[in-house]
Amino acid sequence: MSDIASRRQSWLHHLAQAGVIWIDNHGENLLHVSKILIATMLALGLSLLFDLSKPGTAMVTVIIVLQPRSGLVLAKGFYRFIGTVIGVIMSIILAASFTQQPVLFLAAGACWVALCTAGSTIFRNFQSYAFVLAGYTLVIVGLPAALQPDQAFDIAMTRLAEVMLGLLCAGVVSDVLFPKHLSDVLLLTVRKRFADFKTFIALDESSAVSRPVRERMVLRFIGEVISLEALRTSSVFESAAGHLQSLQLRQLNNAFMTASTTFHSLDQLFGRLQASGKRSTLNALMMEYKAIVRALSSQDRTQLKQIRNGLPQRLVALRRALAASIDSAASDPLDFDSATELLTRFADELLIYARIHAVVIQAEMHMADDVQLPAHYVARTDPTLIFTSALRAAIGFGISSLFWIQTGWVSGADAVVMATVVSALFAAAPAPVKIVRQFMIGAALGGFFGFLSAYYLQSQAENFTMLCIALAPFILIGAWLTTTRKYSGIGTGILLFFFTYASIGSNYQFDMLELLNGMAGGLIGVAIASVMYQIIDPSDSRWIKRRLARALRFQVVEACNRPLPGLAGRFESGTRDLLSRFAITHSLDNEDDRGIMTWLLSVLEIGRAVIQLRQEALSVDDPQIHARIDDSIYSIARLFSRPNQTRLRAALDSVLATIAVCSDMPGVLANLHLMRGAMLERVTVLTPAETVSRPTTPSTGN
Amino acid sequence: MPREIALFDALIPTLLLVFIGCLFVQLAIDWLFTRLGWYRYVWHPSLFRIALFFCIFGGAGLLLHVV
Repeated sequence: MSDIASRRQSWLHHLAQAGVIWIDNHGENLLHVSKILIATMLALGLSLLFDLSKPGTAMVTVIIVLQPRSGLVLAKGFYRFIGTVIGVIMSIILAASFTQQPVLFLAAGACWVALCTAGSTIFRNFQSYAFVLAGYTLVIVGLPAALQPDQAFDIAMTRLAEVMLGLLCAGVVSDVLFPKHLSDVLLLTVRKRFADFKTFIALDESSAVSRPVRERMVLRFIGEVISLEALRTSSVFESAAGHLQSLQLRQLNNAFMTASTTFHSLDQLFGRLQASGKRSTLNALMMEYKAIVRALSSQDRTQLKQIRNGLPQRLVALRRALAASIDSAASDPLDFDSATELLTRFADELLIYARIHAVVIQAEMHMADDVQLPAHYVARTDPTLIFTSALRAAIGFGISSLFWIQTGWVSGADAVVMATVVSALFAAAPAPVKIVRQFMIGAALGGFFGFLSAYYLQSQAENFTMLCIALAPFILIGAWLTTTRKYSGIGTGILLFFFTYASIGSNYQFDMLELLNGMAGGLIGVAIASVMYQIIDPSDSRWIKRRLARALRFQVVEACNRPLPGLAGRFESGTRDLLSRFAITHSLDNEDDRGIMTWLLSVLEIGRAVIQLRQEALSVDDPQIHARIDDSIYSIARLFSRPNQTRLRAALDSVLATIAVCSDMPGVLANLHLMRGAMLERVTVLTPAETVSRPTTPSTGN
Repeated sequence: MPREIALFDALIPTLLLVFIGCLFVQLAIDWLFTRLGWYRYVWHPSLFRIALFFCIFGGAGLLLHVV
């Protein structure tokens, strides 16, 4: 008897434990899903109360805007509002201008959609989303408005009111019901990154860790720089103190980028020393380096400063000892000097980084006065990518409207709407083809769910509560799918199509023919967009990789030519931003990706050295030496604008000649030496990349 | 007060204008509270903000109704 009781006890215990674990793992998703449900129901109820014609729009708005963090919701809502307003205004203007000329209207619409899609690839995050919306609002508002010109203003205003209602519901629910603040996530990310960086630069088992692993780590850091920047722009909306914190975060990001690039240069230098067998130099440098890294990890914040202050004397002593040692012939003082320069710089940058980090973590309102960083963040996008996505959107819109005109089918408008929405919505996604395929499956499912709900359930609903019950299961399924990473595209598709075709309204009406027509039209639209994505998908071809390598090269050319103020920040963020899309979709498994990665590394190293060199050169008085330095910078710009063997040799010669001239300027010398080392190491990447790929150029034009 | 106001020949509900005005009032109060650090003494800042907005907008709306 007691056996059974105890067994039952243990069963219950297990069950409770499993429940706790499940809640731990899925609690946040559960909260998110229930927020979605509450917000959509709120939007539905209010739309019915205010007698808006399409409650579905408000509900779709809730779905699109609602995210796990309240800052993101407010930011996205803000930009959705702006995008919708601009789109509505544009729709009214176009509809008023071309009421009698449908072809002209559609042509102008295609141009507008292309323009907006281009904007959405240039800008990042939710600004990009505002462009997307401004584009596709044209088809949602403009098409019906052009079909019924006398109703145009009403249609526009209804759309605006519904979107605003949805935004309000989403904002209030996410911000009031168990809010999850973005600033918490930000602090967590910042803290984690600091810890990761500390272990990464400690180089403890780095000799054991293989190269790809380290490169993957570099890619991860790049991804984190980008994501922190994204979170930062959204956190502004969360509280009135957001602006201040945002500035600090930008500076933190900048300090991090600078420090990690210097670390990379140091790492490369160490590697070169090791490869050339200069053990004694390497060991001497390593000792100092370890001291710096250890000081960074220590609790005492003044320790790093002390180490930094004592660094010059210790390095001078080390240099003397090294020169006197037995194998002085084997060790090059130039190596040591450039490493010294780098080490000092690294310590300085770590100091600044740790300082800003402390300020951000403790949420102090004011930055210390001695930390003054120009914090520029620039987003870079390859022009080809902008052009192709604009072209894709315009062609998608054109084909679907051509289909509509030719068939004269009422639901052709649905096809146009869906084709435009889908081709705009996923244009900025890293791998759009995959998401669109998922979206299509979701769309078909969502339409079916809409039928189930409208035909079997809603017909039984007598009041608002029952209507909610009739809708809730499908919303829950879709919302739950959106929280999973694997099926989020399907979830979005289900929700979007469900709300569009479930014929939700103040008085129940169900028209099978209309539903089937609309569904078919919508699916055809998604199919058109999907095909367009497959035909014009620049994200994964060899060609785009070569474009990327080219864009990276031009970063160095820019570092050589642009005016200095703010250049360092521009260079660091621009290079990382160029790579961010690449970093998301690739895992460095094949040769091509590794090639790009090598590119990034040499670009970071050489570009940074060029910028530093130009800064050092400002204090050089001798005009002859100045001319030499300018000459070597020019030769590097030439090399990177179009690398080949002769230009590489010219650049190396020029740098070597400059090294010979500036023997008594350690700062200049160190950068020149770094550049030379990097170029020599990348010889295989710099030139064969061009000579090998040239024959394949005509065949990879897709 | 009239229920609707003509703005560039488009009839706009007066309540909408009141709503926008209240938003600005809310922003000002928000700014002030953050500056003075008063939100530290509030249990649920977002709920407080929403409630405050409801009070402001409700008051203004009722005033409009009376006048």
